[in-house]
Amino acid sequence: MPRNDALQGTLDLLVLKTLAQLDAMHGFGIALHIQQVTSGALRVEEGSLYPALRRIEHEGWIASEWKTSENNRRAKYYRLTAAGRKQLAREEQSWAQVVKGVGALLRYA
Amino acid sequence: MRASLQRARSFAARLVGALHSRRIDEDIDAELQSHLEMRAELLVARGSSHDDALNEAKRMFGNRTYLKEEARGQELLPRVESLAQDLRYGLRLLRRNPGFTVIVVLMLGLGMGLNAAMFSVFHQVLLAPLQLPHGDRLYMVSSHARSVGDARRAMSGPEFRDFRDQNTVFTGVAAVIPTFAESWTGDGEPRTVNCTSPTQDFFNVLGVRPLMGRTFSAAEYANLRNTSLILSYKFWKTQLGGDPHVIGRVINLGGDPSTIIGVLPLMPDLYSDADIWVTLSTEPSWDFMNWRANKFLDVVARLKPGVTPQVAEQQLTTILRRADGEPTDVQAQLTPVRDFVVGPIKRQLDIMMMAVALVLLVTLLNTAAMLLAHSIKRAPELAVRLGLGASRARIRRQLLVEGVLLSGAGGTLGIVLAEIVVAAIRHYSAASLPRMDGLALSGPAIAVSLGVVALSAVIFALLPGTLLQLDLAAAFRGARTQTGRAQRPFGGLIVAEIACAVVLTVGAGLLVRSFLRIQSVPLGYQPERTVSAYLRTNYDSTDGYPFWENVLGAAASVPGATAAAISDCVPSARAASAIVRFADRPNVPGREPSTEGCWISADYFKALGVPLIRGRYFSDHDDAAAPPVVIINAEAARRLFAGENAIGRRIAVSYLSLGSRSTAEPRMREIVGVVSDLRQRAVDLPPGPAVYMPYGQDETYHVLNSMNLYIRGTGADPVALGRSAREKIQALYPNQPVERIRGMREVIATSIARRTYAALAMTGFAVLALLLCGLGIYGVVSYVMQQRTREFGIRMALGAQRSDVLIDVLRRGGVLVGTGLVLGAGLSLLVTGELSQLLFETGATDPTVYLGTALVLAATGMLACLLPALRASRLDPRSALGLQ
Repeated sequence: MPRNDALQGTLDLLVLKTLAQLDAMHGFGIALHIQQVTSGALRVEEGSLYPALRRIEHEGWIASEWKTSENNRRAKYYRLTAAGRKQLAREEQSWAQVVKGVGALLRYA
Repeated sequence: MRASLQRARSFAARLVGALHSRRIDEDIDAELQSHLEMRAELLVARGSSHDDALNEAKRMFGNRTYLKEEARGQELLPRVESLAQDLRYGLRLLRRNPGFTVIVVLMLGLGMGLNAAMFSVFHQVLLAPLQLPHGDRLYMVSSHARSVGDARRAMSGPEFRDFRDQNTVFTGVAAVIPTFAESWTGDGEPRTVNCTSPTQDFFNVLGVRPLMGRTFSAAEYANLRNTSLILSYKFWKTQLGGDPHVIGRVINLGGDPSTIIGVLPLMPDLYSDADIWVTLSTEPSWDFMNWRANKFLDVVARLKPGVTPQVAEQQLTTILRRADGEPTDVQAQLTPVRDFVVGPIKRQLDIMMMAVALVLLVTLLNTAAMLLAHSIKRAPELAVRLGLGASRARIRRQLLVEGVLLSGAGGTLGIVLAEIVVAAIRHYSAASLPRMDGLALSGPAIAVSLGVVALSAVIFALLPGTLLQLDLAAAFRGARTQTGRAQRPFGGLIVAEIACAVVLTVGAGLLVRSFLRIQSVPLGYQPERTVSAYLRTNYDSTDGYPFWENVLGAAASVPGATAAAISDCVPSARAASAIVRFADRPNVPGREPSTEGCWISADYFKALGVPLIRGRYFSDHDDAAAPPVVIINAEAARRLFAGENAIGRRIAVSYLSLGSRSTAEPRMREIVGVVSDLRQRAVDLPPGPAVYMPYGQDETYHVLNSMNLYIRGTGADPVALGRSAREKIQALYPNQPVERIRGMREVIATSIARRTYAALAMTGFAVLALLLCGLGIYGVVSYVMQQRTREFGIRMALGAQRSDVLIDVLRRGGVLVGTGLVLGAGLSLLVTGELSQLLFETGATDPTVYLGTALVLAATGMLACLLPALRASRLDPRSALGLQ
């Protein structure tokens, strides 16, 4: 099984989900997307994003290729692989459990 | 299945990455560049200037180089490049914590240095093969008999000849007079040299070939007046300057011109003290070689292949028992040459080796504890790196590199220290340890040390790594563990450390107590104002009497001298053995009582300050012409005469030594005095029965050959007295060596030097262990205190008193120290039995020593706890809680 540290796991989930929603996107786009969709509540440290992307790519969950962007700039685009989709499903499920658990705890008070 | 597939794929990707690392660098650069540009573009769109936007983008991104390395870490197998990076990082870290680094490196260096040095000595003396071909087939032959005390007995001339002629188990056998002194004159200052005298075949039995020249011929061995001699390597090098043309040179030995016929190679194993080798003839032979009771020879033999020592012992026992006058239970005994040489020192070396290993263990435990505390302090930093995507393997490697850096530095320092210690040992104790020629820091010692370095590096790296895994969550929460959970691994380390220190301290305590006991032992004489010197002469007839009378006269005339005397004995160091027969009761051959025996001049007891109990001292009138007389000591009176008045009784004394040149029946002597006991043979041996005879009544004249001079003075510096006496004597006899001028206090110190060394070394080790222990406890408790700052803050905010905090810390510390003490005491009880050989009037379980050790360690431990605890109790609760 892949490692499941809270911080890494969360960033993985955000990246995978973003790519599921955006099809193919470069790192900057992914960071921007997460920030905008969460209305700025979650701001991805750009410094941790790229190492995470490398790692996720090596897990085989995403693939990358260099393409030209909308405004004619060369950028490395990432997209989800089939394995990535399965991993996303797993992580969504485990996240849901965490949320459920934390929710239960919060309601208890 | 899937997981392993994924792992394989990820591994393959990294492998590819490793092969294309430059492309990857460019790839990462390009990607980060594109990111920055896009960010800048966005900022420009929002109204920033181009330059500001680019700077802002960089600021938002943070440290690019660092991130690039982190990102790339995902691509690469551990490579030289990242190793260099780990090294740089590790070095930076160690530089940032100089106190920590210095202490750890010093500790490791000391521990390993001592260990490597001690192991070199251990290896050289006990383990290294004999430098004699097939040395494992070489045995020393001796005998023992329960009925006469079971002590190891040397062999006599007739016994050696019986062995040589009747055995079928040896390929060769030889007898040796291990050492005797001769004067060497005519080449500068007259000196005495150590001679060793072997029978024919000796060099063949050992397999020693001369370095130059030849060994003795059969004709030379068969000549009682042979004057050819062979030099030892050491004598040739140090006294004759390694003269390449030394063969054929004539030197004056014992007054006779003698021709050098050969030089031996270095012989570190057997008779390494010999300066000069001369022949020992057996056919014809000296009288002293013909007397069966005169047991003074070493016998060395080479066992035939296929014959076991047991079989040989049986045959030799049979041979021994054929002779008349031997105890019926006499047994021959074969001792491997190695055991013969190192036997007396083996136990002590074993103990020293164990002690040093314990010191090393304490060092390693302490280092582990300090590193653990250190890396837990770094847990938040490591957690951040983990969060940034560094793998655990990468972090573990980083820790490993730091461990290797520390232990590598420590090991290097250790090897340097070991060189110094080995040089010091070579310099100071070469004489007191056998086989020390060529002692050097040995390969195996370095290998063992390096092994320890490597092992400790791994342990240091993995211990914190393992702990970090346990504690990572806590590290994320915010650096401060709230409970004592992180203390647990420390507890074990501290307890183990204390237990080791207890064993060392108990050992040191026992040796020091023995040493003190020996210092305060009643000697039976007053050594302070007496000087001794050694004179070797060439007199073996009545010519010697005027010589010695003149020497005594010259010595007594030195200003400040109150008494002068000569004797063949050295108090607290040496006495010959003698056998006593009685005039008034039957004597059973082989069962005669054995005593210490000395030939003395009239004022011997006055010069040494030995009180007379009954009767009289000798006078100058007790000479060869007078009726034979003898003085005995109180112990002899008690044992031989059951406390009855011994004065006027008659005994005959047979002297057992090289000096016994006569096989004639010894004369009956009248006992004229009883003196109080003195420790004649050694300080640590109780006085045995002893007999003293006037040197003028030695009918063999042999004692005239070799005497010790004693002068008692009024001044505080007896050695000056000795020097003045030498001048006076050499004014009369310019060729007479007067050597070994030493105060009797120094003679005593030399005789117990081995004990002194042992006590000193062990005390040094114990103090080191105690220091390390204190340091370790202090470091760990300080760390734990820091971890619990918040907890203490809360407790004090909730109303706990400062003293409560203090008591809590001391209680926890007390439990650790107490556990360590109990464990260490148990261990000590198990191992101090090994020390018993080195102890003197001190039990291996001496309660004072154990109690003292407990007190010292408890004090050290509690002090080490108290300092950080006091600091903790002075906390301001508000700042501890981070409210300010």
